[in-house]
Amino acid sequence: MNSDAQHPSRLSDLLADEATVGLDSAERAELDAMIAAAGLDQDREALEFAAAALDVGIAQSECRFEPLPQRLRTQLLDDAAALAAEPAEIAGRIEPVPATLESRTRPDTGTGPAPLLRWAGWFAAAACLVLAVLAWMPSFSPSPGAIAPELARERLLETPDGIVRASWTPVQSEWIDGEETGDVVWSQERHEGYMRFTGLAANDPTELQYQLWIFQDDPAVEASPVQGGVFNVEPGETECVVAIEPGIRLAKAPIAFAITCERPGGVWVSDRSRLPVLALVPQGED
Amino acid sequence: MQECIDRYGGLVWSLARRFLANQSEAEDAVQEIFIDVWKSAGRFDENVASEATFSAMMARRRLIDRGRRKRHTPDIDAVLRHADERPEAPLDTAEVSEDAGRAVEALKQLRPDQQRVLRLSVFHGLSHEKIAEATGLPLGTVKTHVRRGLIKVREILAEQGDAGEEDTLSPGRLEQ
Repeated sequence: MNSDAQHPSRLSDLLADEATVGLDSAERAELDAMIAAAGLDQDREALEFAAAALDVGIAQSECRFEPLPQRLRTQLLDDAAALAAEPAEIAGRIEPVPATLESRTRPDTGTGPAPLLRWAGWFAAAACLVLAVLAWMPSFSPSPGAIAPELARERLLETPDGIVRASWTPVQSEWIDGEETGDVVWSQERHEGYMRFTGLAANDPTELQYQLWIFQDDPAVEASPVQGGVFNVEPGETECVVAIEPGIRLAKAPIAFAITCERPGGVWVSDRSRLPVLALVPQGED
Repeated sequence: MQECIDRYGGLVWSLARRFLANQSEAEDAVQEIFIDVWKSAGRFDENVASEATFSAMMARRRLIDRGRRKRHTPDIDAVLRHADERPEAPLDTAEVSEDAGRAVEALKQLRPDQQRVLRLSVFHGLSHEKIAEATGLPLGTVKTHVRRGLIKVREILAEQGDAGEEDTLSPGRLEQ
């Protein structure tokens, strides 16, 4: 299935909206899925760059630049000094540098000023510390709890109301072994939920693990989905049910769920390049 | 980092002042933007965009996000008054960004109504609904002008800046 081929206008609409007015969580998840399905990751920011270049160009041509206030400049220098003095702390908050982008960055030849290029190496080194931090990252593997997740899911579905339910939609077929017909159920009131998979391919946990991401209906956190735990699918498993264990309490009801493939133990920030399935909560459900 | 601040501080500050009415909020945003830029420096690729454009993209992303959270909408009358103003004389013609200059050349290739819509969207940060209200154009036409205008700009930047690389997000593909 190729979403881009099916909805080319929708893809370009979302990219243009992202570059000009921004996207909400559901739109962002939809765009991520379409980009992943179409293999357009390298061009994800193309229209954002176009808008930025145009913005700068108009400001430049109309001389609409204001000088940075001295007080703010001093504050920024303080911020910079604090960052430079605490590389380990920064590393914990840095998104690891994608190897493809890093390798495409030419070294500074010294022939012209390029502050960002000079800093790229420093930050790439700092990002390496993320790997060390990840080694200490707590495992979010779901615990079985008092009862099996299959039974717990059935009991949750028997509760009278307040359950959201969404079906998984395959995004990248290489991770799907057969037809994926599973779903995800979640009770915001009980803060409890379960994922059911029927066609997700078995993984080698020494190579990668599946990781759940939960998108909430909250513009303040739309860019940062909550991670909902890592899990494995055993070879030969025709159906598996996994308990959802968000790293933090969700402030708002989920509007979408996404599964990514990540390094063993999971990641703090996913590049969403390996996105097997996505589930959008139907509008109107609560 | 000091060089980065001195080189792009005015650019980022000007963007923040345009997107956010409140001065103290603009100052907070500029601090967040520079942190974003420094943290993302490893992703910078000079084959894709200039440093000015990269910094502006990071700034716009943060400012658009802030605008959505605050439900901030620019004063449409003030924007329209400002939109038709031109400085009497250039203050400083020093080159800020080559790709930014090319983007403006691409803008000039669009029809006047398309130029106006794209300018109101990208430079003045108006929503599609506000642009439709201000220009009298149907909402769908506004969205089409924005989308096609950005694709045109992107096409010209890609043609001139990265000749030889495959254009995987070609306008033809997007506009099917």
